[in-house]
Amino acid sequence: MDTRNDLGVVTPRRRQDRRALQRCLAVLGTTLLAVVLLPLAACGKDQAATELSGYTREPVPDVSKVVLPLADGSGTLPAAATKGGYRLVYFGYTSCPDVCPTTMSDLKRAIRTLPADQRGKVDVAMMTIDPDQDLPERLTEYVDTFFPKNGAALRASDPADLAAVAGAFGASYSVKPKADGTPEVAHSGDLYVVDDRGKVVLQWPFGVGAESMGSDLATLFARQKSASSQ
Amino acid sequence: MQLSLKKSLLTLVAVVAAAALFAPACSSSDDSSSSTTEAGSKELKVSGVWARQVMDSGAVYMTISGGAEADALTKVAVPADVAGEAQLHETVMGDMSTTEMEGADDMGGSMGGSGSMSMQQVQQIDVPAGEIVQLKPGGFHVMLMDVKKDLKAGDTFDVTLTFETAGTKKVTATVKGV
Ligand SMILES: [Cu+2]
Repeated sequence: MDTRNDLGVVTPRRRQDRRALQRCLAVLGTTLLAVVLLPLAACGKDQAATELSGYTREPVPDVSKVVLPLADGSGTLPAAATKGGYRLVYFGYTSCPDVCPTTMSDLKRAIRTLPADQRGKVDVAMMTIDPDQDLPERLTEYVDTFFPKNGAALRASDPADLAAVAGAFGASYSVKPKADGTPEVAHSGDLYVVDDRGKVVLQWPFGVGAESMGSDLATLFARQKSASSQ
Repeated sequence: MQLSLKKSLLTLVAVVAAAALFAPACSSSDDSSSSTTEAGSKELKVSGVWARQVMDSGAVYMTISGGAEADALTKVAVPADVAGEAQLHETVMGDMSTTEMEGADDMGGSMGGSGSMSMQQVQQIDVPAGEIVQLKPGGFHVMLMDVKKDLKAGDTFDVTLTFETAGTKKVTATVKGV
């Protein structure tokens, strides 16, 4: 089956050329505009002031006292990142084929764009909101699929512990059995960026994309640098 | 050509505003963004079919371009050695009813779009005449359950789509890595 768009047949060649020319002119116009406007907009701005794609809540949530339970039962992880780094915390579940893998995959690609020294300071912690289905082994395999080196699988068998951790971040979820016995799961799709003081400095809603996540992380590192050099 | 060039220059100002959206290319190929109305083919078409798998579940995404008549995707199937079941699903953003949700019930209203997301099975995906319907992350998708194969990036498998009017179409999904 031919799935291509047979544009050449429908649209006369000359019309396309003209449109291309128009578009080139338009691009030229935009460039001229940008040349005039950019220096104005960039006045007094440096890289550290670049706008972020994610958002920050006010007041900035403090999760410095929160401990994250490791799925394998080996202990806990502080919610705060290691010194100078960022810990990315996500609340999801393994039978989620759409939202969770998209976010994890985008994040993986985003981290890859960072220079090696920064990349080494970023890790990912995913907490299951469905601990009944996501037994430790399954959850660990899931996280390892995306982050074999810098990922942590989190699971609390006590629902109250899960609620406490999720609540500290502002994540919400619900798992209810459907008529056919399979669980109906709803969850907030945000990804939380925690710094080394345990502050949730940034939050990405679902769909932000790898590119924006990567540039946001780069901006956060750049801000750190400019703050410490002052 | 002289006339059209003049015309182009005259429309320049108007076009500049919209230009940012179309700026990436000066090439005359790949003009699909602005040609869907005039080039609207009579036949329903499916393109860009890709899939992602994590452990035993997966999703298939694609672009469906509606034909001359309104249509609907009503059924989907994949070979039995790929997955045990394929269903039409939609991820929906719902208002978080805080009484039913665990966790942050003190979120104090909208914090910038952290809504509740959940998936549900749908009976059909409507494809209006001449319109483009995207199956993409966070929206409509084909959900694969009980995935049997360990699919690698670049692998392909058949997906059989059944449309109300256009009938059965067999397309090929290409697997993307995680
Ligand atoms: Cu689904």
